[in-house]
Amino acid sequence: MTKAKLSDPDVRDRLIATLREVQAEKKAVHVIHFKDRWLVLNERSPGRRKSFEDKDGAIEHARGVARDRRFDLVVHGRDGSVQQVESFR
Amino acid sequence: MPPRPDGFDRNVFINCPFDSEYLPLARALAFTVLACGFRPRVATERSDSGEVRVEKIRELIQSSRLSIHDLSRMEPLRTDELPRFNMPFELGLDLGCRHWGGAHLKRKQCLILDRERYRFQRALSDISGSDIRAHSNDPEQLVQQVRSWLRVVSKEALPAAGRLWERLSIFRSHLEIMLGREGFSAREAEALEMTEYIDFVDTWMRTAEDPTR
Repeated sequence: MTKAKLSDPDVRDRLIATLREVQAEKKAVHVIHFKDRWLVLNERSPGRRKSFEDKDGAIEHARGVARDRRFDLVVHGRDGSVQQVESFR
Repeated sequence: MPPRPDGFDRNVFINCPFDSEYLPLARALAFTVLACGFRPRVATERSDSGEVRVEKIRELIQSSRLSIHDLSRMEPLRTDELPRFNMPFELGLDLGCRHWGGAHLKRKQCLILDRERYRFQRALSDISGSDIRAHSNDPEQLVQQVRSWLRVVSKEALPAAGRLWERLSIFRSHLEIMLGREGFSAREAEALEMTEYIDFVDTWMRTAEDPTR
């Protein structure tokens, strides 16, 4: 079977639909680095973020929120890449 | 005199490498331009293989009031190779276009990026005095520099750099989840063409309620 190509228009439409689904779920708590601080950001609480000096403290707090809400914990690296995902769904 | 093309004022020509090493910076750059309400224009968006590359570049430069040139990879990929000249060549075309094109082209403005602020001036001293900013190969710094420059040249209220960085980080995770659910590997995700990436960012921004507001 030929593997689907990202450039195929049908595949593109399917991916766009999936992207919208992922976006609509809003079930993740992110740990994000910015200007020497680590921020915890809940996709369900726009505009509210908690700031930490160290990454471990931010992860611990975010993990607690994700566990309580049955969300995913998404930890980003300093370059913004996704380093670690833990699901509590 | 060439007519002023549609979208001229919002178009931003992006002159940067698209290799895997630079990819996180290239994607952060395109995301920031879109998130600030501008339209990134890249050479790979025109897929007519019969068109000579320099003609594509010329048309993109002519149809964009703004341009961003990243010279941080103006060096050989391997020690036994010559440096890559495409980026400084396209910067030269862009600067020349201001002076030898139509009246609207005199309003063109460009940002030059490098990894260190004064590094490339040793090799390209003719452009001393241009708006040159350093990103230290760090996507977070690149987002801040590009946003800050767009703020100055557009005189518009733009989202804060921190909000842009948060949105980019969240978008990256959504993109990974989307590709994973549809059976694409991390390697295939990395091979995503820049035009496809821009298409996904654009869709995501149009759909999104900004989770970082």
